Amino acid sequence: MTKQNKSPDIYRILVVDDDLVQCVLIKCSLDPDTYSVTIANDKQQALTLCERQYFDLAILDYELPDGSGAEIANALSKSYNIPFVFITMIDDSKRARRPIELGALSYLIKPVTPKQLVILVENAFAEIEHRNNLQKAVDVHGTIGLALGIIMNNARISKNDGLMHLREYCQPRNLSMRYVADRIVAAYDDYIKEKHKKPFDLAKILQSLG
Amino acid sequence: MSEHEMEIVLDETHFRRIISESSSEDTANQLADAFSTQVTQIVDELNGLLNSGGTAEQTARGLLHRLRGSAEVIGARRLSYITRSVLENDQDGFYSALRSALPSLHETIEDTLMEIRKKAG
Repeated sequence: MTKQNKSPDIYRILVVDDDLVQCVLIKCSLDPDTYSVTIANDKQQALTLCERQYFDLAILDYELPDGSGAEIANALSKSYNIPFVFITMIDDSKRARRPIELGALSYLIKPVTPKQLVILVENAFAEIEHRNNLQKAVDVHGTIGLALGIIMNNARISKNDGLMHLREYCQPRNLSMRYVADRIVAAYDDYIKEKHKKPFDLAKILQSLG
Repeated sequence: MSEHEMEIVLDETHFRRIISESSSEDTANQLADAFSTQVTQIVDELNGLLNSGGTAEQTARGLLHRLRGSAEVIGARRLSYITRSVLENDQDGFYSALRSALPSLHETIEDTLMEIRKKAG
């Protein structure tokens, strides 16, 4: 069967949860004009749906009757490239961070309110957009483009403004854009590898270059 | 959570909050229907496990865990308290605790549904 393509005006969300009440709450929380919500109550149902349909985001429960949310998370990222968030009942702070280790964009601990759900989903889409920007930058311009993507996201500015900032920084210091771009990308890579332990401080990185 | 939770069937503040924050006008009724379907199915399965001699403790625990989850979604505090008490009972054994809790579980489910329906108008 051919995968159903994404409609450009609406985000498709897959909810995987065996709790019918939680599923209804998620569906009722998200504006149907913006989000189309499809529900799967177990792992098998979820994977079958992923074979047939396109999803922009999955909201996963951590504990499911036929497998853990971790197993679905693995399948979503490896086989279908679908980003995901978790809603979990785990209230132990150490174990609650497990979703992030699995690659989740974010997570919430139950019980959740509609407002919290909307924020979770909006933030997830902002993060997806940010990652897409970075990927586009890598694809088009190599290292300079990648650094530009980081600057755009960090300073929330347009591509042209980002490029202008980068030029304005390099020229008076007599630094090549490639050199500065390499430093920014390396610093961002460290930041990701260290799992966001310290904030990513672009100004500080630039300061250290002279 | 304390025994004080036993006095509250439905946390009105939480329930009103989820209704007012949701994007659908029919959320209360949809939650009531989902809750009714879900708890009926879980209680039937729990009874089935008890009648078949009380094996498969992990399955029964999973069901009770799910019941607690549904209760917490809507703010059904008494139901959440009862399920949690059974799950955490280390003294009487799981099935013994479940058997003792069943009458109050049934009663609380009925009371909770009545409260939700009342709020749904």
